[in-house]
Amino acid sequence: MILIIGYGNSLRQDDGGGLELAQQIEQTGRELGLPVECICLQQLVPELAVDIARPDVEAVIFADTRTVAPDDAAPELEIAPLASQSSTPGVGHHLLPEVLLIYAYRLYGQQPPAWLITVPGIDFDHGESLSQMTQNALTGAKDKIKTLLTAHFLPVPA
Amino acid sequence: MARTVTIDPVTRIEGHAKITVHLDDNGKVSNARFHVVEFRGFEKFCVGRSFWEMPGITARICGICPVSHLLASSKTGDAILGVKIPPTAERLRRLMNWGQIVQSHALSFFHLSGPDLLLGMESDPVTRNIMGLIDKFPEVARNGIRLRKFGQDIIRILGGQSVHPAWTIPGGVREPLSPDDRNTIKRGLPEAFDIVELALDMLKDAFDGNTKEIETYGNFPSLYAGLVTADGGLEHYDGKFRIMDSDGRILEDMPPEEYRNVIGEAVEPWSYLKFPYYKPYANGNYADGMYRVGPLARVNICDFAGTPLADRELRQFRRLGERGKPVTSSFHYHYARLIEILFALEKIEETLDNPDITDHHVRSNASVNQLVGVGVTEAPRGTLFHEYHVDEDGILTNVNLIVATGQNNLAMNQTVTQIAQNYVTGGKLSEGILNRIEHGIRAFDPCLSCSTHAVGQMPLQVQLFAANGEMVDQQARD
Repeated sequence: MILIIGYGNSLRQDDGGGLELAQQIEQTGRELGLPVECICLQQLVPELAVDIARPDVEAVIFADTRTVAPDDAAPELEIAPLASQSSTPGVGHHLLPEVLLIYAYRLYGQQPPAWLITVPGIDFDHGESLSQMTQNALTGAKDKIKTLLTAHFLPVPA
Repeated sequence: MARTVTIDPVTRIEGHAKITVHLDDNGKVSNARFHVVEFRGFEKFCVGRSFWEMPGITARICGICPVSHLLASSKTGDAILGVKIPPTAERLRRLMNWGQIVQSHALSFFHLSGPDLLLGMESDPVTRNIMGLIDKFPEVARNGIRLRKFGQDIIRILGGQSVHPAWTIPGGVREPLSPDDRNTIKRGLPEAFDIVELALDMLKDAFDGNTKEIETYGNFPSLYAGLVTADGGLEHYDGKFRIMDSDGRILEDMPPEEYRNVIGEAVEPWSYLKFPYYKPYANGNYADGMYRVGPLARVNICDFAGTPLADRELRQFRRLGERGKPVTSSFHYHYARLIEILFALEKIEETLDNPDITDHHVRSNASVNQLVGVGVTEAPRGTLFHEYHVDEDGILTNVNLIVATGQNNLAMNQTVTQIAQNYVTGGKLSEGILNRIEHGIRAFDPCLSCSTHAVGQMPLQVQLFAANGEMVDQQARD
């Protein structure tokens, strides 16, 4: 099962882009016939390590918004594989995906492959709408998501 | 030459704060201050909104303890409506409140203070954190995560999400509890009980190695305040507002909505956090009206807990102080926190066994019947007051919030001063001493987002100033 974790504040404009992205990843996964589960929340919390370490989880995809400059030349979806790092983790507002992976590995011995997929964001003021930049990235996200899921989770045709 | 030391930012707390330690001409600590440097203004920008919106708005004050604001705000709305909510709705609100007590106290004990208690106050800062705890005591770290998850799951099951659940409203709650969900919560109880019993053993084992800390971390007489049941039992949702002095004498047992008669709020130019105080003791100096709230206060002021395991621990807790008097050391906030987790688990079990807990009548309907409402509840960190004034259409004309951490402001300042006086020598700071000062703050488990009705980053800075105002040393963390 592919665990999708989307996080962000839907009341802070583009910060809600990660939540929309997570739902899109879930939908794409279901269309491909893949077993997926989506968790959406305002911020990453330590308890997610328990979900990541479940024996039925074969991979984890984090979905978030990254901050870019308004004149960013390539404001597209970005997909990056994640590796656990040895940095000092924090608890509170800035728990990183890599730290959750460390928790899952060190506490439960589980280390599923993981990716961080982000949409660009420029406006994080109060409000529930997404900027044109974020919307455009979401509109063009499906093909890239499909490519990732197909490459890693669908059997290669004979 | 007098100097001031600044710690900025303070780590492993919720919110953003700075500590300044002031040295006299002999290099001895003369004073220390806990500065909160964020401002938000909820009390002002909520004017003009409808009181119906306030649970959702005030929950956004904080992401760690939004349930407290949801409950206090909903109770304020109940008062404006002039309704008594259905019994099942009250049980469900209490259930969510206990879930929050469990998750918040677990976070404080295991994640925020656990590294100090288990790895040492002055141990290597590189490993004195949750990762160091995972490396050396993985079972403790696992337990902390599991216990917090249990509390968060209760909130999520009841309210649809664990942070900012849109569930409690004026008049009751939106949705009842299904039998399946009740059973899901019940299944998590045995493990939760096991974890807190292990935590109690772990904390008591740490007492012998922290005797000086117990003596010097916020150990001073003060008043204590909080809610109690009608017959004086431990309480987190409703009841009487009690104030007790350091000799154990009850000064007030009053309706909480009359808090303004005895609680005043002072301000200082060097912090955005207000300074609530007990007015009858102020006599020209508001600091004389200092009182503490939160787990230590609640466990001190109650006559009993009312559940067998919590009462067992309460009897042991009382032996930490002079006979018949409150326990004064702020270090024992940790023990009080674990007692409250135990109490909450016992009450959760008792409540889930009530056959009415899945009843579908969970809301009373009415319109504006009172133009002033006060809602008081116990947040994990202490008593929380919401007061709304509305017009005939329910539009807010005035809002006052007194949050738990603010009420501990004077005590936190005195704690920081006491620790600094006992550990800062030669006018220099070591990293370990910074952590001790920070731990004094952590014992109170402050929520600085709530107290300034603000959100910020976690860190704390410490600055050391001379008597002439020159900053002569500084320690800060990333």
